[in-house]
Parts: sequence; structure tokens; C-alpha cells
Amino acid sequence: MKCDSFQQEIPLYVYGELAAPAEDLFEEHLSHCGGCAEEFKKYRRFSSIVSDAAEEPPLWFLAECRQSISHLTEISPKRTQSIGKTFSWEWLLGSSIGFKVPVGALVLLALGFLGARLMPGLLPAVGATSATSRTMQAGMISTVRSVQPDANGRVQIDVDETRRRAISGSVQDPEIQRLLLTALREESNAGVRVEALTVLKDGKSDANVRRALLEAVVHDPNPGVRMRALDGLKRFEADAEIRKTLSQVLLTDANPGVRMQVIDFLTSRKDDPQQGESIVGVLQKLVEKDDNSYVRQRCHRALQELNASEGTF
Amino acid sequence: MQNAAGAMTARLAPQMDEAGLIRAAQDGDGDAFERLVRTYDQSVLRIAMNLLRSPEDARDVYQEAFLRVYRNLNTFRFDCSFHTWLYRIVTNICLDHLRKRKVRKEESSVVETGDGPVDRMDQVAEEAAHADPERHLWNRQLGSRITGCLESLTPRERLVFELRHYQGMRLRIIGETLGTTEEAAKNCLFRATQKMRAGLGDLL
Repeated sequence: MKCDSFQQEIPLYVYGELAAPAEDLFEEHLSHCGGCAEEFKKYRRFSSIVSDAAEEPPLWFLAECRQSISHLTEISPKRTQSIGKTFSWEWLLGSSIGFKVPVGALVLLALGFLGARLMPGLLPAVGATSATSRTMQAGMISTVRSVQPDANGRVQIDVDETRRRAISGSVQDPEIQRLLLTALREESNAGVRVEALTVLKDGKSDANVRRALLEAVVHDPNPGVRMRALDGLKRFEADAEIRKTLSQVLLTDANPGVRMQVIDFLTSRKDDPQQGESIVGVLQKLVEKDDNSYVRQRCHRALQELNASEGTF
Repeated sequence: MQNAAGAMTARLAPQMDEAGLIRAAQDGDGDAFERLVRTYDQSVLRIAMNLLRSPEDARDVYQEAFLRVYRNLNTFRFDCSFHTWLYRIVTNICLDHLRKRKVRKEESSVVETGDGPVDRMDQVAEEAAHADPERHLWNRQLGSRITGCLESLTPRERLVFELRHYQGMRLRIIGETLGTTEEAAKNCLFRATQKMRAGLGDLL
């Protein structure tokens, strides 16, 4: 095979798309052809530069989009086919939705107004989850638990009622701390968990906070929450147990953004010779196996900064 | 009386796998649908933002994609993975946007305002980037160079490059998603990288 053909395969090699025999052939050629090795180096540089310009949607933007889809699906034709006979939901949710969103909002507003007239005290709360219908009146939250029609055309509705109250105090206050840690277990609301973490990460650094942050990084289902918890762990960056746990997270977390942040965390202590020893093996594994090219590039750079080789021998 | 909340909790236990979630969503379970959305929506938004480089368009793609999923979930028959099915929808919408843009000339993410030119992508940029001003400046310069290079690609080349380079998808899956062959996706990737490298020549 000529150099031209090898050079055409460079992107495929870098992305791990060559079959094993072709990969061996490629590596062998690269080891004794200066021209192709130079071309390969240029490609790695290109790949790294392009990766640096990746856009990651911020959490607030994601939250906005989620809110919009939540509103739109609530009035989707899928669950309102009987209404669809007299009102064209298809038109409202047609292919070009950009200008129809405000119209949809107006329809929702009108429905809400009518609903309020017909059923005072049973207004759906903004942002309510679809699992339960919640109502808010004078700080009271009602959750409908079951709806049971009877033979006489009446209906029995079981409702749980919870009263909302505001508690304020210093972040250092043990009661506030306890509530913030409780908020981290608010499974249904990632926004609350992020808000709690934002406060906790700048507050007191006791063992409970440390453990809560670490648990959030390891177990929280939402990548945005995990990333915020990682921010909070920065002040514990010398902690050996945390570093060991994060090395595992690096190998198991499904989100490339989280993995990138963990790499940044684990390689931040440039003056500490021991950090290199503990992280090199993990980075070498990732460089070889991670399915995200941005992560692999980041590992490659980190290994270079640590003067370590990419492969294991 | 049946406890609806209990039934809901049982149905949405954390161990429910994706197929279970899809079936529940097909049966009209709103929470299952929401969980499906939340599994994939960050990466859908990332693809749209990287490809279209416009927050408004990215938001449109996000909404349209998940509405199509919502409306057509009943037609999903597990012939392919949900991931492939969803990305097929997303990439089709993105391709439509890119093709429309080609017709009305590429829309830059930089707009003129009373305070001078503003990059709309900066308005949604990550907090982390702002924490390091030097990195942020470099990213901005680089970003505009890369955007320039991306404009030289056809919509399909741009999509293949995005899915392979940024999303880490295998060429075989990209081919499946775009309704083409792995070989065609490979050729597209090759052309895209050639054009991109030519455009960024002085930086390499």
C-alpha cells in the first residue's frame, strides 16, 4: 500500500474505525515512514483543536427546553384524540412549531382559565409533574392519589395535602445544613438538587457534606447534578479516598461531560508526583477504550502532561 | 381502593430498563416518557447546538424531535434501538435546518447589536469557560474559525463529522441512522476532515 492510502486511513485509525489487521498494518507503516508519521501528528493536532471548540449546552438552557417540551406534550393529540375531532391539534403541533409555540401557550392559558372557572381550587401548578396533579392554594400542595368513579355517576378522589412553609437561615446553621442534605435526595427534582449543591459547595466542609457530594457524583442519575457535585468536591482534591472513588467514576460514568470534568479534577494537582502514579493507569485505559473522541483526546493530553505513555507495556 | 401512587412508583422503579420505559410510554405513561426524554435530551441538544450553532434553532430541533417522538412512539416496534430511532429523527430535522440554511445562505451565530457584534452562542456558553478568561477567548477565536470551516461542508458531511467526532458514534451506526451504508458514512467523514483540515491549515 502506498503512503496516500495510509494517509487516507488516518481519520479512521484515530477514531478507532479500522479493523485489527488494518490497524496493525497502519501502525507498522507509521513506525518507519517519517512523512506519514508527520501527517498523523498533524491530524492529532487537528482533532484536538476541533475537540476544544465543542459546545456543551448549559444546564439552564437544557432546563428551558425541558420545560417547553413538557408544556407541548401535555396538549399532544396522543392523549386528546376525542378533543381533536373538534379542534385541530395537528395544526398546533405541525412540522414548523416555531411560531406556533405562543399560540399553544395562549390555548393553554384559555384552557387554564376555563378550568379555573369550572373547578376553583383545582388549578394545575406550573411545573407540576405528570405523575401527580398538584394544586397550590395558600401554601397548600395537594397530590391526587386516586380517582374512583361510582355507579351513581359521582367520583371519589383521594388527595394528600402538604403545607408549604419557608425556612431561612445561615448556611452554617445545622438545621439548614440538614435540609440541604435532604434536598439532595429529592429524586423527582434535579433542579432542587442542583440548587442545594450550589449552596453546599461553598459552605461548611464537614464530613456529612463531603459524603453527600461524593454520593451525588457517584449515584445521582442527572449528569448536571453530578457535575455540580464535582465542583463542590474541588476543595477536597487532595483527599485520597475521593480521588480513588473518582478514578472509578471515570471508568463507569456514562456521560462524557462528567468524565471530562473528573479528568480535570484528577489532573489538577500538577505539583504532586503521587497524583500521576494514581491516575496514569486509568487514563491509559480510557485512551484505548472510551467511546467519546473528546474524552480520548483529553486523556491523551493529560498523559502527555504527566510524561506518561499512552499504552501499557 | 387501588393506590395509584403506589402503582406508579412500582412501574417507575429505578431498575426499569429502557424497553420497559418505552412500553410504559407507549401505554400513555407520561413519567416514563419524561424519563426517556431525560435520558437522551442533553445529547440531542448538544448535537443541535454544535451543528446549527444557533440556540434558537437548537431549541426548535429539540422541541420538534421530542414532539415527533411523542406522537410516533406507538409506531416504534423495537426493530432498531431506541437510540438509533431517536437519532434518525434528530438528524433528519437537523439536515432540514441545514439545507434550508444553505438555500438562504449560511446564518452566522454572530449578530450585530447596538453594542457591537455579539455571538449568540456566547449567550448560552458554559459557566466553566467563563471561569477561565484566557481559555474563553481562545475558544471564541477557535470557535469562529471552526464555524467558518463547517460552513464549507455539505449538510450531510457536517452531520457525519458531528456524530463521529463530537458524539463518538461508530460509522456503522451513523450509516444506519442516516439510512445509508457504513462505507458512504466513511467517505463523508473523509471529505469532511479534508475540508476542515484545509480550512484550519495554519493552526496545524
